[in-house]
Amino acid sequence: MSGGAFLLRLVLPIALGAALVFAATLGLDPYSLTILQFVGINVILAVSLNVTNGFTGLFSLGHPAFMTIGGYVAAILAMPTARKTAMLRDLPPLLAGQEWPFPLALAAGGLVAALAAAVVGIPVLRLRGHYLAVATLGLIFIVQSLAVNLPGITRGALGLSGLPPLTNPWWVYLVLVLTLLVCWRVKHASLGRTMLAIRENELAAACLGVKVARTRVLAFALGAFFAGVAGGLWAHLVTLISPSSFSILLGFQLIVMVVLGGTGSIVGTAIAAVVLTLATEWLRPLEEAAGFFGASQIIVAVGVILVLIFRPSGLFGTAEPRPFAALAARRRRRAVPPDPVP
Amino acid sequence: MTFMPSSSSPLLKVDRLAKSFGGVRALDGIDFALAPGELVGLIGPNGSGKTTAFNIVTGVLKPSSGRILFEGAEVTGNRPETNAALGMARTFQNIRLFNDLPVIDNVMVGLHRKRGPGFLATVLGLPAARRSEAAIRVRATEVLGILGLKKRAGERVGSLPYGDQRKVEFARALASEPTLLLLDEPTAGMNPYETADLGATIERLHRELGITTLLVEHDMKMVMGICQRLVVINQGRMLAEGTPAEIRADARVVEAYLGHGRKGRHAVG
Repeated sequence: MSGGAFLLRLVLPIALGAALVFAATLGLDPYSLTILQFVGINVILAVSLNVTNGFTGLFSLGHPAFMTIGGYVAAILAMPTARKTAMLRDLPPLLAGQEWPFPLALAAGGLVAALAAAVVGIPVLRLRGHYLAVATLGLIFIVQSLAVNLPGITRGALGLSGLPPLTNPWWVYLVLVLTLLVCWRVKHASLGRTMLAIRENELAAACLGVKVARTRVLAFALGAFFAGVAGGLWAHLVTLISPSSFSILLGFQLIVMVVLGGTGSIVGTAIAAVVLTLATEWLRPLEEAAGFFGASQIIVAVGVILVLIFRPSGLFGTAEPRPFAALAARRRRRAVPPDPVP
Repeated sequence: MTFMPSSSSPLLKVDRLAKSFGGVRALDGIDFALAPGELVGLIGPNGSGKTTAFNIVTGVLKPSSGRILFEGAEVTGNRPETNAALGMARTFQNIRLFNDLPVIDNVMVGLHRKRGPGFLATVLGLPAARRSEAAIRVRATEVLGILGLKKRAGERVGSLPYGDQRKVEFARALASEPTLLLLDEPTAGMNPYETADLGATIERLHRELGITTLLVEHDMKMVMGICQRLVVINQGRMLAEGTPAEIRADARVVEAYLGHGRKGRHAVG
């Protein structure tokens, strides 16, 4: 990539985003700033779920499980040792003495979640379609009950409260950029093409030498990594993590974002995540005024049904909306030398 | 038999292959071998077990008994991805393309195994990853050119006419530079014009690229015209093996295709 293109395609958008984040930290009240961070976290979650569900066609509901794993790991590692001795007296000494910098704790949470996904994925990813959905649903409950029943590490059903409020718009922005960059690069490369191939026709992909099982586990673990990191961000934003923090309801909302945005479209999913998060937030005062709680969820559910009827592959399908697709296309044109004139 | 391979080193050797589905014996003792560079047709009437044999060779199905040797090594019961890595490439009787992807991406998938960059190189955007991505695209464009599909490279493959979809499957298999190309009824569902066109393409590619090819086919006229040697099976058993001329004259083959009491003229078209 030439220096100029590199500047235009990567540095400029990131700098622009950073400027917006900076403006937001100056101009917005704490409440709006918190909402903004939730928007960012939801985009991270939805886009990473899209790697599994959209690119590779594995219908996983397991994101909340990986968020719980990543959230607890990050919370325990980043917690000040003094607080740990007060709150978690039975913590193994090896963990009790740790007080990691926030980014390292986040990364560790992501890695443990990815590892869990790989271990679970090897048997579970043999299942297809709704079997896989049910198995990953079970994973949520397994992780929840582990969190409840390992009081020495997790403080059981009470959860870990009073976590340091380490999450700020900058960390969310950093993780968001990394998520988008990694998912975009995977999708627009040979690796992502094999994922799409598995989604479209598994047998044909296998007969072309695509390592189907391994690619599936990779897609599952990659999605789980960002879910784990997002779990850590979430925990340190609300300063609390408990076994019921991330439930099946959240898993459903994420699925809705992927379905609405387009199974496979990164930009589409990101837009759907932003709109849905803000809509739920903005509809809340209306619900209260009308005395009709749950109206926003009904509206969202009806929206999903309409999209499934009229546009089953989501608003954007697998493609990226035009200005973004142009980025990928330009790169492609450079890669292929023009045909010699016959 | 004039085209019998110098049986010291066949590229593919199938030895007493048998396959049962429950109580049904789909294959019962199939033997044949392909010498390097040969174009061999595997033919037989409907339900004779051609596609079953084909699926066992490529690893899609596991045999009940028997052995398969590829380049002298045992590949019996291998998974399809392992066989692909060893150099087998195949097409499907009922087209199996990646419908939502553009034509060129379909072909590029076949190149990932040999040239695709790894996960870290991809995510970090290393120059090596960019180079191999570009190389994959160039090679895929080349193969599309060989099959006359270059102009369609950007189109969604699901929207192509049937004959062109067949050719994309063909290109996808060719792109990986296989040592053995396995074509499962490539002319199924094609009109006589398309059949003749594809037959000519297969023959041309075999001549130009010298890839050992096993062709499962229903259309006798096409097989007789382009294959050097034919293996005929019927009801899961070996019926005959030989040059097209020998097969044409074989009374058992004529009987299997047409039944008793008729002359073989129609069978050979």
